This record gives sequence, C-alpha cells and structure tokens, in this order.
Amino acid sequence: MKWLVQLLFILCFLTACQMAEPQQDIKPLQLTNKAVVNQQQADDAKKIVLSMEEVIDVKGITDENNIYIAPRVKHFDRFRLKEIRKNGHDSIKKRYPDATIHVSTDQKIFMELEKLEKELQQRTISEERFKQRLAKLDEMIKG
Amino acid sequence: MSSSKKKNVTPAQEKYQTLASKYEKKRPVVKNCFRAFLVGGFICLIGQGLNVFYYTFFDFTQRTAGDPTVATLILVSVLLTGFGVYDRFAQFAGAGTAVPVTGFANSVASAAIEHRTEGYVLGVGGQMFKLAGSVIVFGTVAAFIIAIIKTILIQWGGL
Repeated sequence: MKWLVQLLFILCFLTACQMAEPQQDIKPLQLTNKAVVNQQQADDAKKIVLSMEEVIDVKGITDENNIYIAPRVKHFDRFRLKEIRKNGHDSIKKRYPDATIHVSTDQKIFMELEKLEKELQQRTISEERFKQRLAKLDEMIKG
Repeated sequence: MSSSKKKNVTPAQEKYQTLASKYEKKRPVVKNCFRAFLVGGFICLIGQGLNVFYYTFFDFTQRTAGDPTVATLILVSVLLTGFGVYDRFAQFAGAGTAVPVTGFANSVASAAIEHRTEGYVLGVGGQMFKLAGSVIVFGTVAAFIIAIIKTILIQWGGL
C-alpha cells in the first residue's frame, strides 16, 4: 500500500509539468512616436522576431544604427538558443542590412530592455542617460 | 561480496551465507533514490533561486550569475559542515547531497576539519583533498575524454 502511495506521489510530480499553457496573443510594445529616440527599427525588428514560432515575447531598443533585441523563448525550445539567436539575427539583418544587430536570450538583458522600453515610453530618461545605459548593456551582452 | 571470495567458500559457509542473506536487511534502493531526487532537486532549486536573485538585483547577466551562485552554495555548505548540520542531511539524502557542488565542498571541509589536529601543512593542507581528490581526478579525466570526442566530432566529423 505504501509503495502505491509513493508511486502516485511520483506520478503527480511528473505529470504536473505537462500542463499546457494557454496561448496568448502577445503584441510587442510599439514606441515609434512616443520615445525620446526614434524606435522604428526596433519596433520592426520586434515584429520580425515575434513572428518566429519559438518566441513568446520580445523586448527591443534601437539607437542610431544599433538594434538590441531580447526574445523570450518557449521552455522546450531553450535547447536550441544558439540557433534561435542566429535565425533572429539573420531575419533582422535581411530587413536592415546596414544595422548592427545584437540578439540576446539572456534574461538579464530582457529585463534591462524592458525597463528601458518603459522609460522611453514614459519619457522619463534623457538621451544622454539612454546612451550610457546602452553602453552598459552592450558590455553585458559581450561579457 | 567480491566474486573471488565467493569461489573459496566451503559448503558450510555457503549454507550460512544463504541463511544469513534471508535475514539481512534489504537496502531500500527506491526510497533512497526518491530521497536523493527530492533533496538534490531542492538544493538545485535553491541554486536557481540564488541565480535569479543575483541577476535580478545585481549587475550580473544570466551567464555570469553562475559564479557568485556557486560561491554562495559552497560557502553555505562549508558553514553547515562546520556546524555539523550537513552530515545529518547527507545521512538522510545520500547522493542527493553528494552530487551537487555542495557535496564537493562538504567533502573538502570535513576532511580539513578532521585533520586539523595534525597541523595546518601536513594535516589540513595534505589531507584536505583525500576525499575530493578522486572527484577532481575523474572530473578532469572525463572532461579530457569528452573534449577529445567533441573535437573529433566537430573538427573531423564536420558536425
């Protein structure tokens, strides 16, 4: 009897992870007309990356010719992060061949870009401070 | 029991062994695995929590947050070993506490504590890696072999 309880307990543990998450229609934050610095390129890049099957959410910022994109990837697709980053990079590069594109799947970069997006949208960040934050972000991506 | 020992037993000894094995307490393998799974998983959960904490509140990225996470886990397990708490956990969980990095720290710290009466150089310094030495050797050898396989597959196999 005891082993049956143990077996049921194990089964409950293992099957709990199988619950499928309900699909939500996610739209990336569009900043084109609201931001301190024009975000047209980032907005387009976000749409391109979000159209990928593996991506469930995306944050992005652009400055001059640099595009910083951080997609959030589906849990089971995290085994192929390198490939997803490359595909994302290539598809943005097709749209903006002259831009320098940084695609990162790091959660920290995602959080930083999310904060920057909000600050840009609410216009609570100066252009100078924005450049400083991007320099720091660049360091983080490379590091 | 090793097979060489088994060969040299007399019929009387063999009879006794079969009789004794009936009364021998069976090793609860499934229960041990389950405990190891739970406690090992719990340690990993704490590690993941620390990782998230470091990259959320400090200037670490998800990649670099691994270093302070491991450092914290090692520090905590060494302290728990010193206070004699970790051994209790280990008795309960077995491999669950030995396999994560905390188990390695525990083996180094416990050996160092045990031999501190023999002096710092020959006692602590010399005996510290008595238990952990095998982990280092087999870890290095395994890494070497895996690196060779990877090199062969990627550079020669064209993967």
